[in-house]
Amino acid sequence: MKKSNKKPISILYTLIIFFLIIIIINNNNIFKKTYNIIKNENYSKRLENVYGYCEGTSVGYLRFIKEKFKLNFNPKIINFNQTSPSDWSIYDLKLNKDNSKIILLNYKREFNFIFNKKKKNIWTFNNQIQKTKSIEKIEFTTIYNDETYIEGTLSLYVVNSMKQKELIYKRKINQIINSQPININFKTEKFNSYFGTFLIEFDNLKNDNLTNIKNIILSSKNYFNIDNYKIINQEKNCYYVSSRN
Amino acid sequence: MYLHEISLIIFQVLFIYLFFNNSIFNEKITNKIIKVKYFTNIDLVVLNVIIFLNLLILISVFSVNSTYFFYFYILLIILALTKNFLEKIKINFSYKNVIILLLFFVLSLDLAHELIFGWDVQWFWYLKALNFYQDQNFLNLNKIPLSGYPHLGPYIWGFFWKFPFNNYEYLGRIAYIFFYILAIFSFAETLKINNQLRSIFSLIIILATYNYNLFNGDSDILLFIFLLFAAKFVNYLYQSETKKNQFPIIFSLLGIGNILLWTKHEGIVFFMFLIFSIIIFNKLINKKNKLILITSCFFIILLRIVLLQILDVPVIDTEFSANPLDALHVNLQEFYYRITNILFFIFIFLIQSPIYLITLPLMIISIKLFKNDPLNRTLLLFTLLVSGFLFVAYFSRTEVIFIAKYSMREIMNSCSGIYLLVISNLFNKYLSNNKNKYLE
Repeated sequence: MKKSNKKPISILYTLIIFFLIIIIINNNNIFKKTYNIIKNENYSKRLENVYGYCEGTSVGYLRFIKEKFKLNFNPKIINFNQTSPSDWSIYDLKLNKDNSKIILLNYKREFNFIFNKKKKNIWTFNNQIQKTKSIEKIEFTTIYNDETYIEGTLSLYVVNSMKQKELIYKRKINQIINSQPININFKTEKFNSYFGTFLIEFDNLKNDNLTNIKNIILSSKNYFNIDNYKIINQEKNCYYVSSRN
Repeated sequence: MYLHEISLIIFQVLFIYLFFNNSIFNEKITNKIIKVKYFTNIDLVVLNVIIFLNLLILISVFSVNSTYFFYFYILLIILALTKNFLEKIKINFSYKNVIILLLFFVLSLDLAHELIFGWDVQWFWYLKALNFYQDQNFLNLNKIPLSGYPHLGPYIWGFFWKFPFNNYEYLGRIAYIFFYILAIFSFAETLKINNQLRSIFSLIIILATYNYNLFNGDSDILLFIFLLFAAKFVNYLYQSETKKNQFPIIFSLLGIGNILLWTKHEGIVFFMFLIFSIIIFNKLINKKNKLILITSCFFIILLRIVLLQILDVPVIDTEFSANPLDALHVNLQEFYYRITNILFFIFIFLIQSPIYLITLPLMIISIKLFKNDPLNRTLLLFTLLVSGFLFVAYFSRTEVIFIAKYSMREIMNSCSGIYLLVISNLFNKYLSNNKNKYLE
């Protein structure tokens, strides 16, 4: 085996090494993090800081339910925020699944998607939309409060990354749009997309009142109706429910 | 007060450090059995890691109880230590070891504090680690998403999560930190300078590359680490003093190849590219060894396929796999869209990576200065092959931007370690040409 030559240790190099280690420690806030681990935050608290209690991944709430109800099964978990899966935080491979017990995270009865103005007659929504099965109503917010009358055709499209449009919904509009929401109650699976964006376009306009429209809000009902379930625990928008059967 | 957690981290760091420093390979065994004079103390630790990880693959696939394996390995370490003690072999604890241990502890504290998992980790890597932590067998992986993904990374995580303290999950990921520091300090030995300067080089590499996100449970960092282990042994293959006895190097490389194969599919692709480039340009390896290298590579791949087929586990997950036939139906607009996006993200990731930012210009300089250098040619061919591989994203069924944005960075970072050879090769040539005082 190769023997390392024992050479005297250079003080200059030692200082450089020391200096570099200090930079690594400083860059990564190691002193503060060590202090936090020792003084303030145990493992559960740190997990909650990272993943939230009843927001985002909501690991805090999942761990709370697991501990409070001493779960001896793996419940079904549905998160209505677009986050990474959170099942892992309480999953136990030795236990069976029980789909009759469900933990709902960030649950809302209704979703509102705000479309922002892009061009004169185009409004867009650029985030993912998931877990919807219908479009319930369309609402318009206007810059000025005076009544805005529109006569034309409203079309809702999903646009893929190649800018190809696919029509989801089309409707003629011939009314004052800012007095009350327009109920449409349109059932569709197409109003869900992971990669695409959504676009609302006005055509065949008979007047020029579009300049007063600031945003268009589409509302969808949550596909999960909590009223069909028995609520065992609730904190903010997080629920632990079981099926009534 | 949560001093308990800090003490656990300290003990875990010491445990992993001693676990790999004192197992199968030591100075005596190396001198007696494999008769290699060029391996350093750090090489022996790397060899211990390689042997251990290959054993882990075996016990995981054949569902051997990990507790028995753990105690068997501990017994082996105790025997090795006793033998060393009786034969009065000094325990090697140098200046460099102090730095390694200190860094290991510092970065482990960072890991323990952050706790954030990547998306894929929350989706399936964590569950795979949990599978082994909870003593579930290999076939149980079929119940977890992407069961055909290689499992070695999560197995290491699950193993050190369970042993010796059976506590927080991050104790398992601390092993990744050790391998990372070990790989960098091991590679630094390719520089023909004194140990202190090598330590400075290692610290600079850590400063440039360390980022908590690399250790968020994803197995990509392991590819970087294992390819860096490989880079060290590849460097040996280009030294004339190792020409007489290359078998231990080839054996080590094949061990690394097997580990890469069970870590991530891309790993074996990069490894094959590397071996192929070496075989073509390295004249110091004789034909027999070249044949051993290439046939053994195919053998370990075949072995994995056969094993998984026998066990009825998918060899590859098709959920995100590419279909080259789809490319035949692509129109010109889509071709342009995909190619420009791939090129754009390659460029972005190249300039974001400190290693590429330094080594690629140096590679051009090196090729200009030393046109016929075999290592330069090897790295050039390796680069061409990897560049071609990046365009696999073109055939993806998933949105190309998504694939380019979230997968290509990991792929490029994984094989960046190999490019550190450019620095060591150029630096060593410069030193030997100038007969510098820094030479050992």
